[in-house]
Amino acid sequence: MLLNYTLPDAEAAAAEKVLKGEEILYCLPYDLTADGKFTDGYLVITAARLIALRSGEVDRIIPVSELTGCCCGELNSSGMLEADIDGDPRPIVFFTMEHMARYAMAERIVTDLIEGRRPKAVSVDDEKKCPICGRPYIRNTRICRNCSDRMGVFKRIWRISRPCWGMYGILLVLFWLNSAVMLLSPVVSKHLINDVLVHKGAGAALLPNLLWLVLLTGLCSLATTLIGAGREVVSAKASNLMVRDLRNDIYSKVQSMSLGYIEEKKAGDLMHRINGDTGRIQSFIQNVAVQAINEVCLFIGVGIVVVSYNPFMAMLIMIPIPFALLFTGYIRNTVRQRYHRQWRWMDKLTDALNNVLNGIKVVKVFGQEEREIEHFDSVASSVRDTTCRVEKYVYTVFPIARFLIGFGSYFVTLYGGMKVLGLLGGTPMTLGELMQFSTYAGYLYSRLDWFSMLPRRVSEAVTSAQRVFEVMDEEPLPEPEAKADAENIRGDVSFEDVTFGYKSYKSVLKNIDLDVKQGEMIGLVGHSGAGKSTMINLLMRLYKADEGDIKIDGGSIEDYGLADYKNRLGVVLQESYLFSGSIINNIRYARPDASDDECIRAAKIANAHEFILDLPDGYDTYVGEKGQRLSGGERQRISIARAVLSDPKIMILDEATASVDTETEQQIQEALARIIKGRTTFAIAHRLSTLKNANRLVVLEEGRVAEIGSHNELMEKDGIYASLVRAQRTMTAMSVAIDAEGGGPGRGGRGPGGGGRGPGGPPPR
Amino acid sequence: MENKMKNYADINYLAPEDCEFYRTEGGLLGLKMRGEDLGRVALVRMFPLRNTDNFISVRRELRDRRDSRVEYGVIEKLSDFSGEQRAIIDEELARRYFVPEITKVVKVKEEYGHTYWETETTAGSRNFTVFDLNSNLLNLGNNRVLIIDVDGNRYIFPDVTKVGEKALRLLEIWL
Ligand SMILES: Nc1ncnc2c1ncn2[C@@H]1O[C@H](COP(=O)(O)OP(=O)(O)OP(=O)(O)O)[C@@H](O)[C@H]1O
Ligand SMILES: [Mg+2]
Repeated sequence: MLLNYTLPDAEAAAAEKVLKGEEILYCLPYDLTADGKFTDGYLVITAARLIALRSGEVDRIIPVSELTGCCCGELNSSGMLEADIDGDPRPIVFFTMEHMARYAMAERIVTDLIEGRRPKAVSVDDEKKCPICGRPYIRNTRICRNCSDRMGVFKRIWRISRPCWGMYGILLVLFWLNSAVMLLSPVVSKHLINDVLVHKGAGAALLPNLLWLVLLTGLCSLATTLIGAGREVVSAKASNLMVRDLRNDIYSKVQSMSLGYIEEKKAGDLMHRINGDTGRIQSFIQNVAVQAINEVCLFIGVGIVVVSYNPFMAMLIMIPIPFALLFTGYIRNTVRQRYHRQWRWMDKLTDALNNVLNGIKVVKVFGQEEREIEHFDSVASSVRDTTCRVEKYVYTVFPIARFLIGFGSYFVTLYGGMKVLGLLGGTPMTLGELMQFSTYAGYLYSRLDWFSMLPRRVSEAVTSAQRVFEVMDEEPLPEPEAKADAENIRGDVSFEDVTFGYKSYKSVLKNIDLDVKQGEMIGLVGHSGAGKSTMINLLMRLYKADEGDIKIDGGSIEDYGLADYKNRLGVVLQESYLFSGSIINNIRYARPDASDDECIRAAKIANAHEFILDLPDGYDTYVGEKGQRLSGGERQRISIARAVLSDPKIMILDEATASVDTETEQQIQEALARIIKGRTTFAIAHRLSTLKNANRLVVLEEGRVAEIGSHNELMEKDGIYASLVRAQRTMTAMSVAIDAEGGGPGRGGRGPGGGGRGPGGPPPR
Repeated sequence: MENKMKNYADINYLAPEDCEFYRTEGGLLGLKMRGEDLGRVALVRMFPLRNTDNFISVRRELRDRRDSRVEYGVIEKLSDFSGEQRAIIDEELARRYFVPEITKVVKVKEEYGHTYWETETTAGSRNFTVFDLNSNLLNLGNNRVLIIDVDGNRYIFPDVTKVGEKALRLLEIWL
C-alpha cells in the first residue's frame, strides 16, 4: 500500500511552513470533509504531529504528544480517523472506502507513535489503480486495460486461433470459389435468356445451346452445394478446435486462482465465461470473421461490375442503401435491448428454478410449495410477456425493414424495363442483361442485411473475448518456489505473530502466537465467529497471513511447494464433499496412485468399511453430486478415509463430528483417535467433550488467543473456557432431563440437545 | 424458561422524553438517558435500504473487537423526535450512512465488465468504477437504485429514469 504520497505543490508549500524541515514519515490522501462532501486532502504524519491539509492550506495540526489513542472508525460506507485527545475521541479526517485499508495502517502508525515506537509500516507501491486514468488494474497485475493496447483484443483472438490458421486458409479458398460461382451464375442466366429463351419458336437449332446452358446452371448449383457443405465442415472443425483450447485454458486458469478470487465471482458467472463466452467467440470466428473477409471482397467485386456496367443503374441501386442502413441500425438497437431484457428474465427464471430445486427440502419442510409455485409462475409470466413483445416486434419490424431495403430493386426494374423497351434512348437493353443486373442488385441487398449485423456481432464477440481474457489475465497467486522439501516434514507448527483479515482493513486474527510440537493435539475453541476456521484456513494455505508467519518445522510455510505441502495435510471438515463417482474413487481422491488394498485399509481405519460393505455395490457404490445417498456420518467417514490415505503429518478437523448422532460420533471419534496418534492435530469442536483427548486447548476470543492450557488448567482458571463448559453441561443436563421424562426430541437420535451446534451454525441447506 | 425467552424478544423502544442526544467535544454523538450519561453511541439502521427512517438501533460504539455489544434501545420512528434532537440524529445518520445521490451522469462507459462513471453527486463531482453491474446494483423500488463501486462506496440514483439514455440502457437490464 502506498503510504507516502507526494504532496501537490500548494499543499507542499503550506506544509513546509509548519514543518520547517521536519521529516514527513507518511502522507496519506483523504477525500471527504466532515460534512460529507468530496474533497482532495492529505494527512501528513511526522514523528511529532499529524497535519491535515486541504486546498493548499493547513486544516488542522495535532501534536502527537496530546494524543492518548487512535482508531480507524468504519462507518457504513466511509471511514474516519479518530484521535483521542485526553481520552476524548475526535475525528481528524474522513475518507471513502477507497482509503479504508490505508487508514487502518494509519491507526497502527499513530498508535506506534503515541507509544513511542518507530512505526513499522512501510509504503509499498502495490496500488490496484492505474495512476494515469484511475481505473482498477487487472487484478494482481499492473496492467490497465484502458491505457494498454486497444486493438489488443482482435490481435489476441487472432493469436489464439493460430492452430486453425491452416483450416482458415482452406475456408477462404472455399469462400472465393463460392463467390466466383455466385458471380458466374447470373452470366449463365443472361445467356440462357438472351441466346435461347427470347427466341420464341426457334426450333431444334437452339436445343444444344439450351442443353449446355441448363447443364451449366445445374453445375453451378451443384458447386454451390458442395462448396457450402465443405465450408460448414471445415469451419466447424476449426472453431471447435480453437474453442476447446480456449476452454481448457480458462478452466485451468480458474482452478489455479486464489480462493478469494473465486469466492468473489459467482460460480454461475465463471461457468458462463467458460461455456457461454467461449462459445460466442467460436461462433464469431466460425460464422463471421472468415466470412467477413470474403463478403467484403465480394461486395466490392459486385459493386465494381455493376458500376462499370451501368453507372446510372448502379446509383439507383445505391440510393436507398443509406436510409435502409440507418433504419435497420435503429431497429437493431431497440431489438437488442428487448432481447437483453428477455435474457435477463430468463436468468431470473433459471435462478428461481435453481433456488427451489436446491432448497426443495426447506420448501417442503415449511410447506411453501404454493408460494414457490406462485413466485415461479409470476416470473414465468414475465418471461412470456417479454418474449411475446420481442417476437411481435421482431416479426413486424424486420419484414418491413427488408421491404425497405429491397426498395431500390423496384427502381432498377422500372428503369431497366424502360431501357429494354427502348424508351430511354441508346441501345435497348436485352432481357438477359436486365436479369443479370437485377440478380446482382438483389445480391447486394441481401448482403446489406448481413453487413448491418456486423457491428453488433463484432461488439458481442469483443465483449465475450474481453470477459474471457479478463479471467485469463488474472494472475494466479504466485506459486512460490519450493525452497524446502515437504516430503519429510515432522509436523511442528508455530504461529508467529500472525495477523490476518479477509478484508485488509478488518483483522479477523490478531497477533496469534502459538507453538505446537509434533504429535500434539490442539483443540480450538471459542465463540462462533472467533476465527477458529480462519486459523486453519491459513494453515491449509487457502489464504496468506497479512503479517507474521506460520512456521512448519521451523521453516516458513510459504517455503514448501503448495501441492507437496497439501499432501502432508489431512483435512476433515464439517460438510464433507463427495464428488460424483464411486466410493473408492472418492477415497482415492487424495492420492490417485493408491492401490485398492491401501484404500480398503484406510476405510477400515476410518470405521467406514462395515457400512460400505452393507451397500449392494460395495466400494463401487456410486455417490451422487453431494453424496446424497449417504448419511452425514457416512460421508464423514469416507472423507476421513480420504484423509488417512495420504498419511498426513498434520491433521485438521473442523467440526468433524458436529452433524452426526452420538453413536456415530463415537465411531468417528474412535477412527480419529487412531489416525491422530503421532500426528500434529488441530481440532475445532463446539461439543467440548469431543476435545477430551486434546493435549492443549486454545481459546480464541475475537481473533486473539485468550487462554491456553489443558482442560484442567483452564477449568481452574475459571475463564472463558470454564464458562463454555458450564453452559454446555447445563444444556446436557437439560436434555438428559427431557430424555428421562420420556420421548423428548433428543432421544436415541441426535446428540444432547442442540449443544453440538454453536449459535452461529450454517443455515439448513 | 418462558420468561427468559420473552426477555430475549423484547425490544426496548426509546421514548424521546427519556433521551438526550448530544455532541461530544470532538463532534461525535453521545447520549444521556434518564439523566445518565452513556457516553458515545452509534446509530445503526436495521433496514438501511428499505426503511431508513424507522427501527434505528442505538448502540455502544465499538472501538475494539473485544468491546461487548450493547444495545441501549431502539428508535422506532425517527418522527418521534423533533427539533434539535432530530437535527442531531439526522446529522449523525448522514455521516454514518454516506451515500451521495447522483444528480447527473456526465459520462458512462462500459468495458471488460466494468462500467466507468463520471457523475455529479450531492457530495460533489465524482468518478468511480463499478464491477459487474449485475451484483452491484440494487433496486430499492420507486425508481431508486443503489450502486456500489469497486471500493465499496455506495451511490444512489434518486430517479433512475432520469440518468440519461446511455446510462439507462446500461442499467435497465439489471433492474
Ligand atoms: N470468506 C470469508 N470472507 C470474509 N469474511 C469471512 C470469511 N470467512 C469468515 N469470515 C469472517 O471472519 C470471522 C471469523 O470466521 P471463522 O469462520 O474463522 O469463525 P469460526 O470461529 O470458525 O466460527 P464458527 O464456530 O461459527 O465456525 C467471522 O466474522 C466471519 O464473518
Ligand atoms: Mg468455523
